[in-house]
Amino acid sequence: MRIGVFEHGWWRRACEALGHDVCALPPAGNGNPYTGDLAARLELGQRLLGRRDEPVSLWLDHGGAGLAFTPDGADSASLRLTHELHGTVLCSHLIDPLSTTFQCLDWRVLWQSLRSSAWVKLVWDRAHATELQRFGVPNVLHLPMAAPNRPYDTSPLDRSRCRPVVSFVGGQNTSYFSANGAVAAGNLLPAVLARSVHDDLPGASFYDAFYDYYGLGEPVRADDSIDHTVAKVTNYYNAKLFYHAELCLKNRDRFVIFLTRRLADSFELIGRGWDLAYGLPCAPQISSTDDYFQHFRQVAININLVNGNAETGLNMRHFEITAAGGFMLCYRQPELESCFHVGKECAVFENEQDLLAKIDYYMHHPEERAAIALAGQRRTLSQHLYSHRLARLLQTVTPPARQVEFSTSTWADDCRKLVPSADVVLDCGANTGQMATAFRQLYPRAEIYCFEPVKAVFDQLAVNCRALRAHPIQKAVGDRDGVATMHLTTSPEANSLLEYQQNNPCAQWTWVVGTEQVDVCTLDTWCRQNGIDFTRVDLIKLDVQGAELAALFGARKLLQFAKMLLVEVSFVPIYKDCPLFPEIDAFLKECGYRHVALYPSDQPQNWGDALYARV
Amino acid sequence: MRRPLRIATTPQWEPSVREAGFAVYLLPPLPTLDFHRPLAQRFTDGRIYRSFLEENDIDLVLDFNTETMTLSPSEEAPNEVALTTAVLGIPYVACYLDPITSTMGQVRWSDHWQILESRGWIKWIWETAHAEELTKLGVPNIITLPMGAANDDFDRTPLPDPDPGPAVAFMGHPASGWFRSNQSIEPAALFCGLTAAAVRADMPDLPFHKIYFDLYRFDKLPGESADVLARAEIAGRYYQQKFIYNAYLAIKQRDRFARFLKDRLGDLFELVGDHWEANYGLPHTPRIWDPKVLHERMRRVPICLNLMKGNLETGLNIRHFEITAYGGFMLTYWTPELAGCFEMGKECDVFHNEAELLEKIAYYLEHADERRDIALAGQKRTLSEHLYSHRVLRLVEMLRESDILPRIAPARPTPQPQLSPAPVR
Repeated sequence: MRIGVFEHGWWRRACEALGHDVCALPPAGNGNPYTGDLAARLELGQRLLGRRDEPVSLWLDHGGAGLAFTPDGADSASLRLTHELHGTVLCSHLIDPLSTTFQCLDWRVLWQSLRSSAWVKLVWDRAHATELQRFGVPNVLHLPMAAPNRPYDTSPLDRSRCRPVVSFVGGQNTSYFSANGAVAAGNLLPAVLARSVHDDLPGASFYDAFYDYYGLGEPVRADDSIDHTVAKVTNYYNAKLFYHAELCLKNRDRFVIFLTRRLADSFELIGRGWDLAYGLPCAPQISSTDDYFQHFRQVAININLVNGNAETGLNMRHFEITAAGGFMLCYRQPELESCFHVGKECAVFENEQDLLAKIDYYMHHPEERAAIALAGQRRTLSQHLYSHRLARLLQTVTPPARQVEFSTSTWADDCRKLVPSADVVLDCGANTGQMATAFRQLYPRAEIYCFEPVKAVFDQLAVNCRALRAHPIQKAVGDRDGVATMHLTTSPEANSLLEYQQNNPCAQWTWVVGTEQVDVCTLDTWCRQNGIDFTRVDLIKLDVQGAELAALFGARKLLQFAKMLLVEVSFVPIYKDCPLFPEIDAFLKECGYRHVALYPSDQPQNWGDALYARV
Repeated sequence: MRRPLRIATTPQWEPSVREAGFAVYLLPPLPTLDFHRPLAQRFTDGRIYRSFLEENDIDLVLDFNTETMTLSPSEEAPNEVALTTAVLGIPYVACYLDPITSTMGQVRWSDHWQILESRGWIKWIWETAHAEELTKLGVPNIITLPMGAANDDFDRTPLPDPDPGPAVAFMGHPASGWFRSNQSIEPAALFCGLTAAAVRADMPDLPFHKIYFDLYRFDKLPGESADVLARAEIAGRYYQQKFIYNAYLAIKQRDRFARFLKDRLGDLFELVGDHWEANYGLPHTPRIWDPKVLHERMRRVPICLNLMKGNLETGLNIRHFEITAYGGFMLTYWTPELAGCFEMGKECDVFHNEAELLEKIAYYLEHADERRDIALAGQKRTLSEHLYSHRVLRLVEMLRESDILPRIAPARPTPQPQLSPAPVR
């Protein structure tokens, strides 16, 4: 495949790692995409149209640097998007808020452009992705950040070269609290309200609080004019400005101040702005890339703190520290557990007291630190490089060979459209409650039953369920009631009633480490025994690692009533005798369900999530 | 035989002190009991009280919010003044209902602080966080005792069938008008308060003073050696920084839920209080001034909501005790000290966020019997443990343990609440 890349290093290397040809394109804004104003983007449009004869499959940029315009015929005031004229899909990796990324572009032009279906917006934070989708922006793809493809030192950490210090690498990102002038108290209210909701419901985003909980503005509607849309989103993002500042303080600055005061010389602060903002001593940024990655291996503990524009997602440092093989201790973020196994591949802290306790603990347990760093590195190098992200992107924007078509909407949005308010949700293969968290956010009033058979995982699930007001059930779901052997793997989310298929595509990072006898039930029996009225079941989620068809066999009665099914489906055999997507698809269609959409996973070549609704 | 303890107080306290078994002496009327009045006025008032306290051989003066605090010439230093009670050697206890910074509004802050440091004044503080805060700031003689319900003739019958109309009611005003005012603020002034709010989100039990002084060391503690003006200055800075934190708590603990419920439930939710329209454009019914009508309303509405103001960090407000004392069913936002006074789910119920609030409302509207049982159990608990008579008894006991009052028995035995007081210095 030939991919046009707007001069950005990590995407170019990702293309090369996957064996694609790269066609270098000139970015808007003279190297800094954020300075690309309308004139610069018109000029870029002219240059790109001049290269019309160079066939590429798609254009890929960083920070919207590939967004270019071409005057529409004689009417110089009317603009066309160059990528559309070119007949190419533009994929933009948006790692900063829109107001920063497109600071030199008129918002009316921007929001008109965002309506382009041929412009895929790659957004690393799930809350931001959902926000854009709910503003009616098409083709928004949530794609976590990643580590660049480059050679990494994969040898175990050398303790003798590891300085006994805690290090944070990153700049001070908000000038809000050091800005001159005064702010009107009334302008702070939306952010304070959203913050209060977020404090009590950590899964709730600013969008949720602003529109769903507090109706602080009128949501954007599909039939809104561009002027209405711009007025609404401007109001929204203005209100969100203070929320970002609050989050910056909550997620990052407070801990930097705290550690500087508590650890003194044992804390290394590397990055710009801390001295000016808070009078904290800090070292300048590391200029050499090699030294930068080496640094993570040379300190005992790398603290990672996201900045104020992260609501749920992970920053690039999560992947850089682990890719380099450093030990990472990070503040908990909602998306962390979908990328790393906490406690095994990185460590987290919840507050100041916990931070000090964890630093003390890991300083005194260097071997555990090294083991975590190694596992984290293995995870990132196998799943979280930009080449992995590119592979997923290509699965989405280009028709895959196996003829499955992924949706660009999210399962949550589709579920919401199908069933706005759910009564009962059965979360089978709940792990520690990651999906239950999303279900709770989607359906605040639903009864959620979480099935997880493995004791160690269940114990954590039970703790998490308390906060979620969900019901944990320590059982696997299958086609019969009784006891069965669960195959435990290095990644608890891959534990399965089926044996692992040798040489499967996941074998490089997940393998069987033991077994455990677990209770199994059929969903039909369990619902009957627990007085669950079949007609109240709105959603069944199955993520049971190859045992999906067995679980569906055990729910034949329930399948006459359940409104929706969200099923993880495999495209390749990962477990012995596991049914693949076509088999599950056929079975559910026989049961009276229609296929609604297929959503890509982190490994879209191997599996995805399929949504079905009762006909 | 010893005579019963003689307590001089205001009519507000009278039934509770009497119920506790002590002799009540109503303080003579003053031109005003405004707790903001200037010190000169309090000095004039001192003459009226001095003769009264002497003539009646009073053992203790009990007050709310420094209303009856008066001043007299000091006998030790003729050019100085002292609390009238201190001049006479009588302990003076004022239960603070409002924040320290909201009282003595017409008194210079340094004078206010100097009076606060007076050992002749025992400050009854109703929540642990504020009691610890004052102690940390160097204020002596702090007693921690929760609020309570004033003794009254309570209706102890099971809840009547609810009135037709709103299913949920909240009785109170908005906790903060600051966000709707025309005020502006320097962004730097937001920093400490918002840092503390961030910490609180992760550690809900940690009060502001611990975040400010211990965790983040935003300022030095007022040292023992510093003079009173220096201590007043540190305390002044502290309260200035706390202002934003209190405003945040006001939204978090009260105003947001009132807005949310009005939006979701419409007329099914009644806001009984003032300023909701002005502050947030929310329709409301006016404050009910007649206590009897207010208390009956608490019994007549199916769900009586309790939302705290921004000055509450860990404790309970007076509504916790009023609603339960009068037999209403209370659904309250969670606060750290709640479990120390009520059994949640048995004597009242709690919610932690908007989604849970809606769920619990729906649940209790469908389960009227459970609501009645909880209300009855809550009433039983409050009437047996959380009346002001119980608090007065405990207060006297604490003063006796500290040798502030002579160790004599009360006039008649009354059940004692189990409380853990802060030490009296």
